[in-house]
Amino acid sequence: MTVQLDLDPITVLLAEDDLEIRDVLQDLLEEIGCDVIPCRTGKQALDFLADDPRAPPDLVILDLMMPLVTGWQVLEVIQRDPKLAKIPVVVLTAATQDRPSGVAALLHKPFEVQTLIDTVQRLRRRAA
Amino acid sequence: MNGPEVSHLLEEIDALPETAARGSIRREVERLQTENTRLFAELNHTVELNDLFAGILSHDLRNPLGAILMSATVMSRKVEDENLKRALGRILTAGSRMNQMIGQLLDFTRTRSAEGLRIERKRGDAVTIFRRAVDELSGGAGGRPIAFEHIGDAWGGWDADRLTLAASHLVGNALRHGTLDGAIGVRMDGRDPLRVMIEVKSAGAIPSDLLPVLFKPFQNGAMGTRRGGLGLGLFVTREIVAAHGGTLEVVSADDITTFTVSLPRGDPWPSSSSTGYTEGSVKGP
Repeated sequence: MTVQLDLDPITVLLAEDDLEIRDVLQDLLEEIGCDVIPCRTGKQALDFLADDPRAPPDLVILDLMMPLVTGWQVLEVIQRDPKLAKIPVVVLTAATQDRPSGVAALLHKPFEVQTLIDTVQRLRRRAA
Repeated sequence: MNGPEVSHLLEEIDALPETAARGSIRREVERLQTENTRLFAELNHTVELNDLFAGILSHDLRNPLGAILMSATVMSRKVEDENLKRALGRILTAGSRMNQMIGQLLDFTRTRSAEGLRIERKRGDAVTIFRRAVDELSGGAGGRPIAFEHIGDAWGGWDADRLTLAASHLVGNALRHGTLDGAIGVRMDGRDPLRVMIEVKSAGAIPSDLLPVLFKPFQNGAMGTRRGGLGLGLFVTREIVAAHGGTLEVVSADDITTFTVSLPRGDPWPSSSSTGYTEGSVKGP
């Protein structure tokens, strides 16, 4: 696995309802120096973005297909809120026809581990 | 028989002399019309269930498969034991194959849905798309050369993801079913301002009795092999080409099989002229 560790740590909000995917992604992101805020529902992600006293995350990784509050709805809230709209969003989806606009990257499941790492590192370098 | 046709038939029945038989025929036609309406509603419901099935398949199978593949990838890069590495390699190979099959099943299901296979055209270069497919598949070509050449301008309005899939199916099909010692050639011609022509040629002939069913779904069994797929590749490829307004044809003669794609560029993307072929050859390992 190619990992570049000389970048500043960043905070990543990870919204994914599938437990196994969320766990694997959290491990991977922590391994490359990210501070991960795992959310198991879209509502949890929205609550965090609206209420958490901490600074907004540097990056959002968002599954589109979540029950009740979907990733699409979370994405809409992020893109409409001037305080959040600048946060890059990496979208994950299992549906090949999904083509959301205005996102930093779109990864179709199942994606290569290295693709996710490269995407996150690219966005980190851009933010540095 | 559709609604206006049934109405016309009923009018003709009403014009007949009034007899007991006329009333009986009219009632039978009306009963059949009601039955027809019920069956049509049932069919629509089945199509809706089909779409639902596609959604469940994509989400509920791809998520756990993604977790398996990602975990196996992470482990395979950390373990030192060669036996474990090989076992993890098998998990990754089998998982990738399963992912391909899920993708094909999803596309197959979509082609049967009311919406059909949707494409999203964006301006792009078909040469880049086909060259990438050749590059990616050359690793599995068992040392066989894949000759790639193009002439003219292959820019147009393509759904790059779908066309990449079609290119992979065509080149992959040539690798799997062409003779093992035969060369494979991909030739693209973009000199026509309205369309791009693509030929994928491989050594070996397809038995004549298989040609009529070649583009039908689930045909791997008929071809005497189930080498890593469901037999949906050519079917899905033809659907992708058709969704672009194009055609896919095959000619198999003199021990050479040629698949020819005619791909309209779509408005408003005119081509420019070019002078000669650019040749390239990608070698397998």
